[in-house]
Amino acid sequence: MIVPNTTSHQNSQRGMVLMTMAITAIAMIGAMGLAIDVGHIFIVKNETQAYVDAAAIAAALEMDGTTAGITRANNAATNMSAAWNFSSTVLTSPTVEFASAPTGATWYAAANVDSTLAPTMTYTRVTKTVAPHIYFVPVVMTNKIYSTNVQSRAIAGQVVLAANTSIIEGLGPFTGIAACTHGFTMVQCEGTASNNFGLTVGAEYDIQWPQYNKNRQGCNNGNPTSGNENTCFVSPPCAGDRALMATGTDPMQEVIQQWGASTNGYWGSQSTSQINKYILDQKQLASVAIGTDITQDLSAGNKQGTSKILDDRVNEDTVNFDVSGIGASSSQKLADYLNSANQNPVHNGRRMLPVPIVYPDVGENMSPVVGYGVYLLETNQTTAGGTSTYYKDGNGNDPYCAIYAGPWNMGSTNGGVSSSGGATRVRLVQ
Amino acid sequence: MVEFALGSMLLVTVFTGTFQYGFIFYQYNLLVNAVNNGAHFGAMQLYDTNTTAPSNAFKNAVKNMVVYGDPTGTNTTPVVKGLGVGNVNITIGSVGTGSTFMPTSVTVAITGYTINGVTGTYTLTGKPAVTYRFQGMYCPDSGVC
Repeated sequence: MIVPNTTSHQNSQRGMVLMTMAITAIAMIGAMGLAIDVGHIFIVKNETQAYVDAAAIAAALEMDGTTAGITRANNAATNMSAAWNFSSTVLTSPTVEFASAPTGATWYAAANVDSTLAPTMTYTRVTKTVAPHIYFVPVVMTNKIYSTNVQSRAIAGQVVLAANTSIIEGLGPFTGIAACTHGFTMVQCEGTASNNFGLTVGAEYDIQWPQYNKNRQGCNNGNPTSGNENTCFVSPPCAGDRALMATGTDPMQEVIQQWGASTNGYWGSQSTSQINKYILDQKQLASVAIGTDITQDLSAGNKQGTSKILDDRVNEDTVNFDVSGIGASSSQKLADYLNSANQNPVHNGRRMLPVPIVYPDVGENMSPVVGYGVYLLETNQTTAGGTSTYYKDGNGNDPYCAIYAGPWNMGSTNGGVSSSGGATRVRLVQ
Repeated sequence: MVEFALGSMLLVTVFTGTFQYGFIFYQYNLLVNAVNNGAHFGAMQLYDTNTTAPSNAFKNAVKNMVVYGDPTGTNTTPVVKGLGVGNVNITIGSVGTGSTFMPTSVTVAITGYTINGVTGTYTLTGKPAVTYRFQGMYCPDSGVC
């Protein structure tokens, strides 16, 4: 049997163990803190990072060069839903800022972006700071803190695709015409991309031209005097193109001289089943890139067929009507349509048709693609219901008009911000 | 001896607890990244049905992206041990119905996945979840696009 030893030496050793344990416990809690608190902070960081990433992308999709677009972008980021702290606490009110470049440019809050700044804003920065509790690390701290700020930040922007990017799907079988100075080369005309190709957002342009007849009075056998170009068409071209007549950048001049009776800007199939795919299902007759001459793909088309399917596409939009009525200006119609993002129903973007912007180059005798634009398809309804705008005009003589909404920002339900050439895609840059 | 017994009991408990929480946190963190990747990927994909039920091709690609970090499913090692495509829940936000349907957001969440700690398990239901605004192509006629 072992008799317990009760010498004073042994007693002091027992005390040593307790003291050592007490000191070690502090270190142990510190180590636990590293594992648990820091682990927790990493999770919080990743949760908020996912949130700001998604919010920045949602915001960048809404920017279209207007202050209304900035407001929509701000709302899109603010309304993004996510939660942190193991998905238990809802994340709200991120800081949303806008700038013209991801680095080196001034960041503005939405309220400070005026109509002069708005056309230059192509990047959105979303920042969110949260303060997770820390439980164990404070034990070993001299100046104790019980929560720490974790900041997450993301920058998303409308990034221009490489100039030689081939667009294989998504473009409608119609064309917009760039308003370039007469005699411009293709490259010079491409340079107008940063200025919406000379077009006005909210104005109505031809995406397919009316029947051409050079023998009409005033057309002067295909050489009309400046300001009389519209007389060469059996029905008058759309208002935006007519407004450019007698200016140095009148697209009608190029259309008459380069296209004449041979084509009207349509590049798709004549067969109704194929037209369906081109207008409704993102299919394209051919892939195009900046500089592609689409002359060989242009044809007179099947106006009866396309008109009906254009109306179908309009009817596939939740907002297939004009809020301010049929007589409203085209810019009002576009503004109403985009504002419906805050109304019920919300527009779903089907009326937005992306098409290549073409420059019928008389000097080079070709029709190169110089960029991509998005056009809002017309409707003649004031409430939700069936429309027949294009079918009504589908007799072959009339033009197909649509409202220019801006350059094509892929995946967006509005126009993009005008920038140097090509289509844009919203990407995270940080 | 008694000190060692007491001390080691405490130590083992503390180390086990630390390991358990550290491990669960690590697994959860991997899952946050996985759903983030999956949702971001899904939001850029072609959407080819006109209901909030995505096509099998869409579902499989997103689920594979979450579980294997690879939409094709060629890679068959899950990013987190024991995670399967059945644990991935995809929710599509939308506007309109029928012919006016349009997807607006893609939410990916983990559901029914159990993290095994040393002394206990923790089952995730509907989290972590990440939502991205839809920015892909929409083409409801399956087989055309």
